[in-house]
Amino acid sequence: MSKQLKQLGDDIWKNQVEKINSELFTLTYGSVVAQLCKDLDNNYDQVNNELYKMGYNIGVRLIDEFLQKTQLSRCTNMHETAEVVSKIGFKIFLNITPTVSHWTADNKSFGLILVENPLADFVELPNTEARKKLWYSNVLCGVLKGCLEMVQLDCDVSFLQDSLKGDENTEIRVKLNKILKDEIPAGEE
Amino acid sequence: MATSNWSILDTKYAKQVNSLIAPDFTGVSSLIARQAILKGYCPKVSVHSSPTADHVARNYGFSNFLSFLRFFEYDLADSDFCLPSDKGEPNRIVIKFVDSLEHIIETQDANKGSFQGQSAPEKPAGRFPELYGEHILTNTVSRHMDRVNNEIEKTSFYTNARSFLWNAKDLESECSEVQNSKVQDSKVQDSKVQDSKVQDSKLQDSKVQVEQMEGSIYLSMLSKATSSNTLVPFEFINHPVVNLVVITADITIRDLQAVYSDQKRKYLDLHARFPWLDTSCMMTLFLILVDTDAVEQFQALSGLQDYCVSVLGEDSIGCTFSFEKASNSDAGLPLEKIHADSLDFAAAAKLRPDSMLSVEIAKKVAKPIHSAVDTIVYKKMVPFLRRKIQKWHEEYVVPRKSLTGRLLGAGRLWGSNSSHRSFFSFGYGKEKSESSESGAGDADTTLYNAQQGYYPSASPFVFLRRLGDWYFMMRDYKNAYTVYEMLKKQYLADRAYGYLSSLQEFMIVSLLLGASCKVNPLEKATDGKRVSGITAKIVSDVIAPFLDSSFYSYLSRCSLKTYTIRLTLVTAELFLVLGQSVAYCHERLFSRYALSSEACFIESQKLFKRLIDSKLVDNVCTGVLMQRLSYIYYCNDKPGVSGSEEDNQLQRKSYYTEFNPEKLTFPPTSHFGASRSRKSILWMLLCAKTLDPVINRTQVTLVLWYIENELRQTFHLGPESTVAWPYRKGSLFVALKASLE
Amino acid sequence: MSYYFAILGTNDAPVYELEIGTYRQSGNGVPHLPNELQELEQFILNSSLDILQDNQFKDTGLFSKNLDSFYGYKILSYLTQGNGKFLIMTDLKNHDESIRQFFIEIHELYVRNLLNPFYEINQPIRSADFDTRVRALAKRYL
Repeated sequence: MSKQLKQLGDDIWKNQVEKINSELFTLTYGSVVAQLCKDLDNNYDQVNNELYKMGYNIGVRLIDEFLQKTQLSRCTNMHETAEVVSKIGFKIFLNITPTVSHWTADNKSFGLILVENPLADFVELPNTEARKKLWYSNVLCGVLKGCLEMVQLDCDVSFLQDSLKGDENTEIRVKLNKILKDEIPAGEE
Repeated sequence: MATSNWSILDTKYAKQVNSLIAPDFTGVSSLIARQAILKGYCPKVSVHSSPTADHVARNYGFSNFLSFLRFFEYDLADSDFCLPSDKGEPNRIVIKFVDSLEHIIETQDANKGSFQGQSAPEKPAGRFPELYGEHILTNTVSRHMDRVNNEIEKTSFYTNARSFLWNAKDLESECSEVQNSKVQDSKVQDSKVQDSKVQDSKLQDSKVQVEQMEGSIYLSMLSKATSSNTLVPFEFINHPVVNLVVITADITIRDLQAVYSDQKRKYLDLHARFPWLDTSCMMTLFLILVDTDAVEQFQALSGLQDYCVSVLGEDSIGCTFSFEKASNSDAGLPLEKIHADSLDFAAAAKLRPDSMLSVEIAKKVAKPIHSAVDTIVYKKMVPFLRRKIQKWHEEYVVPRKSLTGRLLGAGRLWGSNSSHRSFFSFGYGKEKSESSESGAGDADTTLYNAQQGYYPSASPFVFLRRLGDWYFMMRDYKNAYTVYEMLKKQYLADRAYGYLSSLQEFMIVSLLLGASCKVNPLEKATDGKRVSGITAKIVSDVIAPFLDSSFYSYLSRCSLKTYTIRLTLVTAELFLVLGQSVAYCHERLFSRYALSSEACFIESQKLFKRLIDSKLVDNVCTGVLMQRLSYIYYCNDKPGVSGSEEDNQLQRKSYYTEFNPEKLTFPPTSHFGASRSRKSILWMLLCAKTLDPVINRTQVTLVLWYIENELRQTFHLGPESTVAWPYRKGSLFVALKASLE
Repeated sequence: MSYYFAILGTNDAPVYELEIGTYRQSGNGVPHLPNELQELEQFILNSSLDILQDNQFKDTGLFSKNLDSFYGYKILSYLTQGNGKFLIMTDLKNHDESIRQFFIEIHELYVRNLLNPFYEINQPIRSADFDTRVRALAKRYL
């Protein structure tokens, strides 16, 4: 299963995805964050929120692209979801495959460890306050949140640690709150 | 105001130069400095005055007639020495009145101990006297600096500079206000604007004044380093060419006879004591003073003049003026204010009160003296020099230069007491052995006296040297160089190092002076093409090796500190003169091989650094030298300013600078990279450090003001940006500033 | 035997400075710059910019091993394409080639630093990481 997913992810990455220069991408994101910090007077909590919202807006759209490209069917459990997110989701959009780890006993919460983070290339946080508060790549959490919500998984997504802050790893924590019922959007029968 | 005291800066010539090359805070144009050098190398007229003549001078408040006359010599410096006259020869000559020969020699002899280099007194070659006593240069400069400081502290510019340094913020807002008002100027004719404008222009005047005074410090050093009364055997620049005997017309014929023979006897004595000293080449001239109030003296005058010509065989001139200073009752008489050259007088300032730097003399008195001085120079001295030069040239130069002369006739002229002495270049071997045979050689009147270290006055090499120096004084540098060149081999063969160093020094100086006169930027272009004639090859093949060798032999072989200073300083300054002249003539075409102004500046910088590093002068002078060095760097891109305005306009129009402050500004392309203002700042800083803020507050304040101003203007740095590098703690600039507060 | 190394921004103000001693000839990396020089070093480097500017459009190379000198200390320079300047003032002789290598490596570091979105051009480089990397390079080459 896992191998198949990996194969699928690689295939899509190779054949179906349009690529852009990673530095352009990194710098674009970097300027967005830096500009946000400037505009919000270095209120890093607020910056985190903004990034999260931006990510969320991306996520709710991105899921359609994801499903159209992969043609995957519904996952059966969170383990499968985690594998898909890591081996296909991250692969086809960022060309990285985070390691899935730290499952909780109730199988509802897992960690994604990013060995490399293309968003954070070249980045060095400017001061100690930023080091304490700013989640530089918080947009990723927003994206995951948005995507998962669109497939009826209401999750809490947040960074646990970030190597930019001097932590050992960069880890995103995903915790399932509940599975939403299929709801027909209002106004459609 | 006080500026009039710095008279070399006050001449018409200086004004002409300043209008072309604006003076900067770091220094005055080298064209003015050249004037000071030329003044140092001018012909000297020794003054021997009778007691009655001195008495006349005392009536006017002077100690003797010499100091009275000296007030009239500077009138001659008012024109451009380097402008050729119609005859192709320089038309203006400046002279210097000096003490009588025997007096100079006596003081020199008495001061022997302090005048001489301390090391190696046993070496015969080291026995020449220095140009001036050990501490004289420093004393001159620091005394002059003190006086300048006093004046400067009174100016509004100085107060402003101080507040600029320490209350920078207030001033800056003021500045921006002024700027703003300038922008709106055309529409709003605010009275406030008017006020600030008036203040501005006042401040500007005050600034110009301070700049002049600053410049005079260096000039005082340069003139002291070049001018001296010291008589040495190896050069004749300081040997008086005219001996002026000043007598009053009430003298009896017998007394006149006595004065004359006394003089002759003294000269013979001198010659006996100093065999290198030749008094026979001097022209004796009587200046007979006639009192307007004593009718009988008028008749006596012509009798005395007749006697001078027919019996004594000497020339004379009369000068009629009132011996008594006009009393108060005649106060209505028009007065003429005459300034002495404070730079020359600074050395003697200890003896003279400051008020003596300028005197007011009734025009009625001043006029005849002016015209007498004119007569001495142009009617008597110049023709005399020309006559002698021509005579010696034919006697000594022509036979050596023409081939037939070399082969046949020359020997007779050379060897005066030995039949088979040849001085041809191929005759060296033989001639040298002879000179070593004659060992003690006091009987020999032409050969180098190796033990005593001089050539006797009858030696042809002395005549040639004198001829060269006279050419030099008359500013015929080409002939001077030719004559000097003929001597070089002989001096080298005789190991007459004092002679050799001085010879090489004058060769360098005549090359550079001659070249700079050819490219005089003040001269209206006549035929369009001007070539300095100095090429990089001349510098590397002639000037540089001569300089090195002279520097070494002055210092180490002869232990003549002051000569080493003169050599280096003058050469450095002359390179600057040349560089500046070339730069300001730049629109006219030069030879492709001629040295560019940048190259001249570099040579000049090298020499100034060498002088600074040599530690021959002490801190005060070193500081002044550093300021001069800074000036050379400052000069580097002048004139090149004309192009920058267009560039600025281009810049203003550019989209980038208007909308994107982060965009790198476009450098002014026309003279990009030509500026050396940062170098200039560095040396100014070193200058401030050397001058020492504790000892010399005023100067250091001004220098720091300059640096601060440059930093802000050129690099848009302000003190509010405390992180900016010059204002960082621990930097010398900040430390110096703090020590002044 | 010491080095004074400075990176100057496009506005010619220093953004990074380091005084370091040589590791060659059994040196231990401790700088021994005399005090008279230390208090002047910024001004000295600044003054050599005059020469750098003059040569900027005449020379093609980025590296200049004899830019300027000041009383036994020579100044070497490396000009980046973006008008950043690396300058070294040193009393060491005959280490031009290793200094050139050092400059090239520094150039890479410098560019990486420029790409940091939080770094603004011509601001002082305060990154500790950058500093350690530079020191490591100094140890290797200087």
